[in-house]
Order: sequence, then structure tokens, then C-alpha cells
Amino acid sequence: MIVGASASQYVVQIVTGLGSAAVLFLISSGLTLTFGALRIVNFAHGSLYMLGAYLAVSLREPIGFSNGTFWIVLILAGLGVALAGVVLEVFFFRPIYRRPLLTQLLVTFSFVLILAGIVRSIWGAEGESTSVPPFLGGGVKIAGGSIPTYQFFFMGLSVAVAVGLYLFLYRTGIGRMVRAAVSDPELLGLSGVNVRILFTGVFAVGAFLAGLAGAAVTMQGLSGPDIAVRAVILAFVVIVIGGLGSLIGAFVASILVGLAQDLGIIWVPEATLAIVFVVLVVVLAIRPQGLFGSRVA
Amino acid sequence: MSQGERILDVRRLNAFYGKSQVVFDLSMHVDKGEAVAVLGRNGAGKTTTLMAIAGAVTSRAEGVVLGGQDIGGLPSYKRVHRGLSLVPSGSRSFPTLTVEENLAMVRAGKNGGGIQFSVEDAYEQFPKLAELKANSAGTLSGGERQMLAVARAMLANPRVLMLDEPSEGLAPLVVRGIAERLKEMSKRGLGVLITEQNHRLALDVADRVYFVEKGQIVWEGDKAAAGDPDVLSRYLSV
Amino acid sequence: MTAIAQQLRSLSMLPALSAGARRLQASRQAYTEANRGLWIVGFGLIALMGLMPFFAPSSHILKGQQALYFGLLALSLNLLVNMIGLISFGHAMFFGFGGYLVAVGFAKEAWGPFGDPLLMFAFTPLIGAVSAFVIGFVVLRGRELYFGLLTLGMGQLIWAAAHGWQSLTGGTNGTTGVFAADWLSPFEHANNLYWFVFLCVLVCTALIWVIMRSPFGDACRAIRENRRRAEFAGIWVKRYEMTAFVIAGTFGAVAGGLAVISETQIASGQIDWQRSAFALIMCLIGGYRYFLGPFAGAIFFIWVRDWLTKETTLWDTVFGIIVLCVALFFVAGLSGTIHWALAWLVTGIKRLRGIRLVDEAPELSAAEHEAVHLPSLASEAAEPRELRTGGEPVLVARNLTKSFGGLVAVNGASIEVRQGTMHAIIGPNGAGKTTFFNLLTGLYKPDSGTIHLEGADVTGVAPWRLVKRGLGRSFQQTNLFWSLTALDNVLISEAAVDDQTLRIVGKHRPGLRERSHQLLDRVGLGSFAGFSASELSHGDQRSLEIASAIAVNSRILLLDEPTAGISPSETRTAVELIRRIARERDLTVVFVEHDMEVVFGIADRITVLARGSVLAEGTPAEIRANPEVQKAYLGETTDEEAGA
Repeated sequence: MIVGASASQYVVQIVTGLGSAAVLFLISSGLTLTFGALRIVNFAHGSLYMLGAYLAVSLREPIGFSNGTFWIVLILAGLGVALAGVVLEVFFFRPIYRRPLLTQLLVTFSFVLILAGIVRSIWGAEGESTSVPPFLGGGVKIAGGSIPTYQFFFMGLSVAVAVGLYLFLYRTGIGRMVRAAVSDPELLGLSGVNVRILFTGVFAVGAFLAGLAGAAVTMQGLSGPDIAVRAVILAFVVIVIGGLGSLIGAFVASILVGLAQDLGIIWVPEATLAIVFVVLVVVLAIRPQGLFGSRVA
Repeated sequence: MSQGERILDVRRLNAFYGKSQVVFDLSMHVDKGEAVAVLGRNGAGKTTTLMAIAGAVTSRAEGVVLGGQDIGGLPSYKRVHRGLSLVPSGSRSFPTLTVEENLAMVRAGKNGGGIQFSVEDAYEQFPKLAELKANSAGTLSGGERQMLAVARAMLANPRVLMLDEPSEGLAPLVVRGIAERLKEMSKRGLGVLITEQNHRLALDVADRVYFVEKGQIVWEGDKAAAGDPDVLSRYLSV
Repeated sequence: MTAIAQQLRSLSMLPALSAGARRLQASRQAYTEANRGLWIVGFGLIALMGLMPFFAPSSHILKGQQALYFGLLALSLNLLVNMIGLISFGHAMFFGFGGYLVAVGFAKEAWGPFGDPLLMFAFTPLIGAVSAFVIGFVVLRGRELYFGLLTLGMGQLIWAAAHGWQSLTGGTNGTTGVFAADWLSPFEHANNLYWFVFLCVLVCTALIWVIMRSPFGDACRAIRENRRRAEFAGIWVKRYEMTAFVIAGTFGAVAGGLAVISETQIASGQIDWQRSAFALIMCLIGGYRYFLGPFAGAIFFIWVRDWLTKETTLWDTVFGIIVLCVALFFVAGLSGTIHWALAWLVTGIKRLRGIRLVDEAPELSAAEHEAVHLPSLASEAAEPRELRTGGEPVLVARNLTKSFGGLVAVNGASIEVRQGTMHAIIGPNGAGKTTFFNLLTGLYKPDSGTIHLEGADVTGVAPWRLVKRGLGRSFQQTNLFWSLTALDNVLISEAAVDDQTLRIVGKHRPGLRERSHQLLDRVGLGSFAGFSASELSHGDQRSLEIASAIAVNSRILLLDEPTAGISPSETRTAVELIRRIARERDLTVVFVEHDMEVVFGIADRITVLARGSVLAEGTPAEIRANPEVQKAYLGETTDEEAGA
């Protein structure tokens, strides 16, 4: 431990870590939901997140990013990405559900490349400035440090998404079908449910969440199209630690990874990136199926 | 044999398992209120036949006509809506969902236009399920899961109910119970198509029997003729 | 919209269509004959690469050099992907280990006098092997997708370490100015450098070729095809996976060392997951089923990417589309395309000469395809039926219990199998026969109870160990190394059981092939030795399954419904065959069977299971006379059986 890290520094880093965790959960919840139902590992999920961010950047000019309108930007960006997700699922992912793992990985990976080029050619390779709706501007003073207010918005948003997803999965008929699809899609079809459309819907919800997350993080500013790759790697770490397909797992693992990252800055500033993967390796060495995973694939 | 209203008519069905063809130009039919058994050895193509009629495996047919409408080109879920329900082999259910949720799955679909069967009916016919309705299906015994599977299929209000090896792995008492339910419902006008290893059960339930060998029908006749030991040993080799 | 949708959907039908079309155009024989052409193309490519400095401009030589070490990286990755079926998404980490070993020692003067890059380069295989061995313990805990994600995580960990440990590695800026030796200077002696790289890659490629062709390579392919079957061929799968992982890491590190010597620098960005993904893409585009495929992919990747970046700012989009198309529509890749073109050429030439290629391949006539090619037993003297009481008990299980969740599948079941007997396990559906069987063969661990094999306690012992102790088994659902030939199916089992397949160089021991052939002959598959298991008819597959179970030099044979799915007349022959082979080889046979005629016809002893427990045990006559059995079992199925 580095000498001089005071208690207040810890508090600040923990709160910041929870903010990072919130964003991580927004991204990884969609990924784990998609994997749970469709059994496909989508490398392009981070690219959808990036697409959401850039859509938000373009939308916030005509619509504005005021207290009243930033919601519209977030939702529209999410919907735009959901639409892109539908196109992706229907035309490219549907044919590969029964193909070998290598094909699945490379098909989804090809969209990392494809979308990176498209986004770069439309929006450029440079980053975008931050823009925060006024009521989320400024910071909250905690333990002598200042935490940007939007971090708390992220936390609120991710809790809302978690609760919303829970209610959707456990309290609605469609959610029930999604859970059924996770265990036996064929039987679901034999029960009179259109599984194809259901899968497309699930993928769209996952894409929407990625887009929403991307749009939200524009409040932090945007470093460039490379956020896609970083996001998807972290999201993979989260859902593998949590257990593939598990929503609760993604929630807990997001907090774990978020905190590890931001506390790592105090402990071993050089290895903040590595620490996340150390957590991954340690968890999996003990529990190969992840914290809440039910089976080893 | 009385010529009843033909409710399911399968004409020249060809079906595939993976890349290889398993069912060849197979034709069969079920009349209203009739129970029909499909018997044959392991690997004769019985399961694939049922899955193909239900639209769950790749198949090609001149026609799969249900109540006058050709459903041959429809995906499996639409066939359920038209009144064709399948209880696949292995007492399948959604193990992570509760019994109640398992049953609710079908209500979200549409009315198959056959026998009216509600969740209440399900609990009445299979009282055990009512007791267990808050338990997740994965914790049920094999017999309870099979009851759930039959109830689930009936909730689609089918005109024809297909069952693939319903007695597999079940205690005799449970099998007898399910057989009684099937007979009762077929009296109410339900068409039943059943495959079985246990041909005693099949002959108990069925009015008419097809024997299948290598994906083709090799014998057809009524229950009495099918029960003849010569016929049985010829096609089932027991 | 719908029209476009339909058009796009029809696109996804393309693979099936094109596959069909290809089969029409080029027969199997044409493909086989084109193999030779493919080798000529391969050697041509190697010669072309080797002679590049004589004719190519320096910019292309540089790219050729890149293609060589990236090709080596991809080829070493293909040892995992194609040889043993593990898809790694973090292979660039070994590139990093090799690269940093050379770079750090020199530029940072971290290893003092040992910092000589060429000396360190000589150590790259070692660091690759050691790091792969350590990392293997973590990543090999996962299978399939989990393995992929674990390697991704591990790769990123190594990348993050290189990125963060700036004092050592230089982080994103990297370590620069690594000059290996004057005579290898990229400026003054660029050609020397090129040939150095070429020779190193050539040697590595030759070594990898030898490894892939070794008995070890055979065993790895068996694991790729069917992990479970491999275990029952006596293969300790983890050990083979670890070995393959270490070998792949070794050569990956060499590729990294060559990269640093060529580029005189390395930075953390060069070993991140995109680099790993690109290595995979090279394998895919080049055709990962072909030995030189990864090199073809690397060459394509280097030149096309370079050309694309010059031509368009959308290079990654275009490249992504290429990857997408290859993955969706043409998995055989570039090498596959060349192979197809050559086969087509062969067909064309033969047609011109008026020779028609006969397709002797698996598209046999329907009747032929259904057949079981059992040997004719007519010539062999008929053996009188006599019950054997057998010798010492060789397989003894006491009070085995196994439950899944709340369901007790086997409840206190015991069995005692005597040497030289045919011991049947029967029972109604759901009696727990298969679970009992899986307990006996080590596939499941019993919750309680003991199993003794030839006197030794083997309770809870892994299947592959049991196999080595002389226990072979077949499965109810046919379980073979599907894309391997019938001969290899048997041969690998024979070789693996006494660890012959751990040798990573050389050939199978002399005589093994003949012995495997004899075994195939014995079960009637002699003329089908060269067919892949998936091409055989169902009945022949059952025979092959039994041959594989015998091939592990087994003394005790456990057969789970050996006649499942075979027609009655063939069943009788098959069963008679099993009985005779058992007599010839003095085998003890335990089998589960539904067909009562078979059971009462050949069993010396019968154990009846019902609801997970043993209901009765005795000779066929005793069992037939047992009223309990009549009631619980035969009564529940048919009357005919009781009279059989």
C-alpha cells in the first residue's frame, strides 16, 4: 500500500469505483442477457456501445442536452443502436447459431472491424468533448474530494436498469419466455412461441442497453472509437466473473471489477489495468463457472 | 373401422436428422377422436416423424393437413396455434421455471381450436401439479414432469396431440394414469398420435397402429390385428 | 424492405448451395489427386518466399518478413485450433514473452551480459514453454468458450503488465533500438536478416509438421473429434491439452523473438487481444484445416491490409467484411479455394483425356448404406451353447449409490462379474442401467459404495485410468472420432492406451497398423478402413465402436446396448460375433441390452435392475423362473419376452 493514501482518498476512490461499476453493468447486462438466451458470444457488443456514444454526440446538437432533453438523446441513441442490433441479428447472427464456436467468434469479431471503420469515417478518429446536462454538472463533495454528479446518475441509472430487467424477466410474460428460451428454445417453439422473433427482441434489448450506456458515458467525454474494444473486454471480464448468462452475477462482478480498478489506482498505479485480469484469473481459478454461473460450458 | 372426420393427414413426408434422411415418403392419418400408435424399433424414425409433423426438424412433404388446412410450410409455433401439440420424448420442461410458469407459457399462445383445456383443468386432472405449482420444474420427479409436459401440450387446446414415448422412464402407475387421461380425451374428440417402446401401453390406448421400419410404414391395421404376436415379433423383434 | 430481406436471407443459404455445387463439380477422387498439386503449390510458395530477396523490391521483402513471423504465430496457434480443437483468444501473449525477452535484455540491459539478443533469442522457446506451462494450469480449467475467454483474459493480463510496467517494457512507447548483431542489421544487411528469419521459420515449420504428424498429433486430433471417446481410449486429455498448449506457446514465443529482431522494437500494443484475433483470422482466411493455411492467411493479411490502408480510410471495414464472408461462406479459406480449383482442373484434364472419375466415396446406394458389414460366420465352426461359470471375480461393485439432484438413479446396487463370462444387465426403462454402467466405467463418481477391478480398489478413479487397467467400453449413442478414418479410430485407441501417443516425434510402432487392420477385419470392416467414421452406415459404426472398445487391449469389455438400432437379423450376427471375439481373446463382457432374445441367448449370468436396485441375479434359467422378475420387468413389457 502506498504510504499517504488517506481514508478520504479511499472513500473518493470507492465512490468513483461504484460509478465505473455502474457503467460496466450497463454494458455487461446486455451482453450477459444476449448470451443467456442466444448462446452466442458477441464481440461486437462494445462496438454497439461505441455506436450509442457517437449517436448521442450527433443527437445532442439538434435536440440539446438540457435537463429536460438529455433523456430524449439517451433513449433515441439506445433505440438507434437497438435497430442496428436487429439488423445484425436477423441477417448475420441468425445463420450462425448452430455453427462452430470459431465461426461465431470471428463473425461477431468482424463487426468490431466493420463498425470501427464506419464510425471513424463518419465521426472521425478524434474524441468528443464532454457535455453534461446542467443539473448533473458540478460535483458532490465527499470526504474532502469532489465526485462528478453524473457519476451518481450512472449509479441510479444502472440500479434502475437492474430493477427493470428483473421485473421484465420475472414479472412479465415475455420475460418468462426469455427465461424459458435460456433452458430449452426448441420446447418453447413447441409451446407455440415464435422463438426467432423472441431472440431478435432479446438481442435488441441487449443492444439498446449498450447504446444507452454509450450515450450516457458521453457525459465523461469520449476518447475515440477505441472505447469499443476496451468496453467489450471489460464486459467479458465482468460476465465471465459473474457467470455467463447470469444477471445477478453481472451486477456483483461489475462492482467487484469497478472497485478493483479504482482502488488499484491507489495501491498499484502502474497495474490498474492488470488488476482487473488478476481478479478474473483468481475468481476463475477457484470457481471456473464464475460466481453465479450454474454450469461449466 | 368407421370412417370418421380426418383431422390430421400427413402425405409423403420426408424428414432429415442433421444431414441424413431418416423418414422416406411416409403417409399417415388420424381421425377425429381416434388414437393412433406408431411403433417400431429404436432408430426406425418414429421420433423424427413426430418432430417433422410438429415442424421442429427439417422436412418436406406433399402435405401436412390439419383440419383441412395445410400446415406443412409453417414453423413449429404456428402449428401449435393451429391445434397440433407435441409432447417430446424425455419429459421435457423448463427446469428453471416454476410449474405455474411452465403452464403459463402456453396461455400466451393462441387457441388451437380443439379441446378446451385451462390451467384449472390441468390442476384438476393432475392434482399433484396443483400441489407443486410454486416449485421449479427441475425439482419434480420424472412422472410429475411428464404430467406437466402433457398438461403443457393440452393447454394449447389441440385438435391433435402427439406424444413421443410418454412412458419412457416412468413408473407403471404414472403410465397407467396418463393412459387413462389420453383415452378420456380421445373420447372427447381429440386425435392422438403416440409412439411407444412399451407397445402394451400403445395397444391399450390406440385404435389403430402403424409399424415403422427405416423411416417407412411397413404395416398398418387396427388394434386387434396389431396385437397378434406374429405381427409384433415381426416388426418389433421381441 | 421485404424483398431485400429475402435476398439477404437467401445469401445465408449460399454455403449449402455452393457446397452442393462443389460436390457436383469435383469428385472426391479429384480432391485426393489434387492433394499432390496442393503440395506443389505449397513448396512453390516456400521457394518463392525463400528467394524473395533476389527479385522483390525492399518494401515487399519487409512485408514478406512480417508474413513469415506472423505466419509462424498463426501456425503455432493452429496447433491448438486445428490439432486439438482449442480456440485461444490470447495467443499474442507468447509473442510478447518471446519479444520482450529479446528486447528487454538488450535495450534495458536488464540481464547484463546475457542481454545479447541472439543469445536471448535462443531462449525464447524456453520462456514460451515455461510461461505456457504456468498459464496452462489456469486456462485449461475451461473448455470451449470458457477456454477462449480465459485465454482472452490471460492475454490481456500479460498485455496490461507490459503496458503498466513501463520501467521494464517501456509501455505503449515500447522498447526500441534492439539490434541483434551487425550482420543482421535491418539497414545494411537487410537480406541477411530476411534469410535468418526465413530459416528460423522454416525450421519451426518443419518441427511443427513433424509434431502434427506424430502419434501425439493423432491423439490430439482424436481429442478434437471426441473428448469423451478419447478418455475411453485411455487418453488423459488434460495432459495432452497441456502438452499442445506448451508446444504452441514455445513456437509463439519464437515468432515474437523474430519479430523484435526484425523490427528492432516491441510495444505493448503489439501483444493486445487484437493481435491474437488477427492470428486467428490468418488461420481462418488461409484455411485452418490445411497445414500451410496459416501462412497463406498471413501473406494475405499483410499485403491486403497494407494495400487497403493505402487505398481507403475504411480499411478495417473492408477487412471486416472479408473476414465475415470467409467465416460465413467459405470456411475452407484460401487453401481450400486453391484445393478446389486444382480438383476442378484435374477433373477437366481427365475429361479431356476421356477418363471419367468414379466416385467411390460414401454416397453409396441407399441399400448399401443401410447394411452392416459383418463378417460371415458360416465358415467358422458352430460353437455349442454352454453356460460358463467363470473364474475369479474381476469386476466387483458393492452398494453403489448415485443421485442427481433429488432423483436417486442407482440405489445400493451391487454386481460381481467373473472372469470369462458374458454378464448381462437388464431392467425396465428407467431402472438406472445406464447410470450403473457409467459408475462402473468411471464416468460418474458414486456417492457411496466401492468398485474393485481385478482386486484393486478403483472407486472414483478417472475413466482413462480404468481403461489403462484393461477396461474398455462402448456407448449406447455411437461415440467415435467422427472425421478420422475407421483405421485411425482403432489405431489411436491401441496406441494411446500404453502412452505411445505421448511421443511428439516419429511414427507409430511397427506392426500396430497391421494389428488394427486385423481387428477391423475381424469385425467385418476391413474394406472400410480408409473411410471416415461419419461415412459408415449406422450398423458399421456400431461395429467400429465395439472394435474401438476392444482395441484398448481390454480384458473386460463393457458394452452399453451394443445392438441399438441394428435390424434383428443383423443383431443376431453381431451378438454372435461379440461372443466369439470374447472367447478368442478371453474377454469378460458386461453388457446392457433390451433385446431379450439376445440376453437369454448369450448371457452366462444376468443381473436385473429395477428402480436403481438389484432385483435378482442368476443364470438365465434362474432369472426366467424368478416370479419377482416376471412381475416387475417382463410383465411390464411384453408377454412374448417371457416366453422367449
